[in-house]
Amino acid sequence: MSGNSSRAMPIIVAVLALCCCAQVFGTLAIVGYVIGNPAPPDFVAIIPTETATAISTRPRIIPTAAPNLFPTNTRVIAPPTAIPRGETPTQRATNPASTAGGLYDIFIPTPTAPAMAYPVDFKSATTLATYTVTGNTLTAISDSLEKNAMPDPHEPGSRYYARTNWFIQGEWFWKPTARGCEMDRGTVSIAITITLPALKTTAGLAPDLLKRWNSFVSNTSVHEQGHARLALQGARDYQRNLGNFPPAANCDLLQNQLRDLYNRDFDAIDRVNVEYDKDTQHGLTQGAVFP
Amino acid sequence: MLNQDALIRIENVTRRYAVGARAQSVFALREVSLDIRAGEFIALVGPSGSGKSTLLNLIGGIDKPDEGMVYVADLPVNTQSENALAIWRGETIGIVFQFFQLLPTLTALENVMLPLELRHSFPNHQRERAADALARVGLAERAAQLPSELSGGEQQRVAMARALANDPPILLADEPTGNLDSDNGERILELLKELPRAGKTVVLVTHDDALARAASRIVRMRDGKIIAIESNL
Repeated sequence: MSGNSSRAMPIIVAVLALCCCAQVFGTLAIVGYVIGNPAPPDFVAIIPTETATAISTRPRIIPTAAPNLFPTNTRVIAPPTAIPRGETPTQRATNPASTAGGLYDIFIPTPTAPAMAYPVDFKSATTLATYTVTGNTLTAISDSLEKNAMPDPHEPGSRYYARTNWFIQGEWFWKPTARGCEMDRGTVSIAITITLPALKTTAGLAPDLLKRWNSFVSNTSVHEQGHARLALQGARDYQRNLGNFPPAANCDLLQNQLRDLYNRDFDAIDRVNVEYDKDTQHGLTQGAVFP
Repeated sequence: MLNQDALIRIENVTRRYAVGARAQSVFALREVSLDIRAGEFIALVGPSGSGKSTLLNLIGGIDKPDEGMVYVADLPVNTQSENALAIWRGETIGIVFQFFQLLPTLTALENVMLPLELRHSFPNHQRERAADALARVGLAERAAQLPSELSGGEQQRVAMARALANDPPILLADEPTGNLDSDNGERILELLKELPRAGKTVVLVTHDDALARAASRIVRMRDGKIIAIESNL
């Protein structure tokens, strides 16, 4: 659903927005999840998974003044306007009114590692970023959301109030063997960034409006975490496929097949996220609606 | 995990360009990290606009990142002054481009002597080294020819001789066979493959998979990101 309608009809329900998909953030990673809530010290927990390694100690902030436009490709989500430097969830936590109930808590379990014939490491990092929403009335908040809305590249002209970017990187080693050519080892890395709106201040907000806002952010977060889960599961599927890839007659053939595997599994993650948005109407059925 | 022993370390590099009347940013590279070991032959592969040439330019200090760091032998390349970079490049980096970039009024030998003039003050010494470099690429007999008198393949070999004349530890090659027929392309490739055996590090930019397979490691790029790294053991 597009937020454009809320501009034309300011009082009408502006459906939220959640988008997804795309790739971004290719650096290596970290397993688990980031909880950006409350209060120092940053509460960062590691999912008990056999692949858990390091952890991001502080959620990253999306840089300011970054009107990104990708000249060509498709799946990268790029906001049409600058994302204002947001407060980190930890900072948000200093404002109890707007973070009541752990509004920005993110919990995304890492799926279990698959059985594999060849060792393939798994690294993941999930980062929560926020952009600042201003205003203390329903109209002002709606306008601010609309101003910061982001497109979904799967839907030209769309504008959404939250998004989840994922980027998957594969690394593999192969070697000639008596069976022809086969995998030796590899690494699958996935980086996920969830971007949510955050109110600059709750001062002057009517209690009912604050309640609506908190419900909106909470439900939006649930929707975005769904995207993150799908991305993580897709990355695990890729790890399984890479770690069990059969030998090929020669290394040229294996190289081509492994490349195809990456593209196929990448597309699968993209596809399942598009389906998720279709099924949930971009979070509408999950209550990701404001006001 | 980045390899601390790497000769070239690229850490979380982002490069943006402003385009259009509204000066909107286009990301050429987004948070790219990569390490390259000494003596490695690495191929950066990807479609146009994927960021591979931008990455090469950052390694060579021709361009600077907006965010992140580029280290070559622990030198933070992107924080050096232009003057310091020029000297450093002359000593450390050889660059080969798709379109040769030879000066048309100079002979093959004189073209190869150009970078030597910055480092070696004795003309005889420059001439000797340049002649050696031409001999290494099989063009000793063509030293007195102007570029216009050489074939495309020969011109590219002169360009390689020029890039290697100072004996730099790193060679950066941006689509070096892109303007050559397959025979000449193969010859350039053979020259590139010899370099790691001599301990030199080669970073090759190409969109040609067949060419990339000569490398020990293939780094695939898309939308300014590294999507895959393939290594032959």
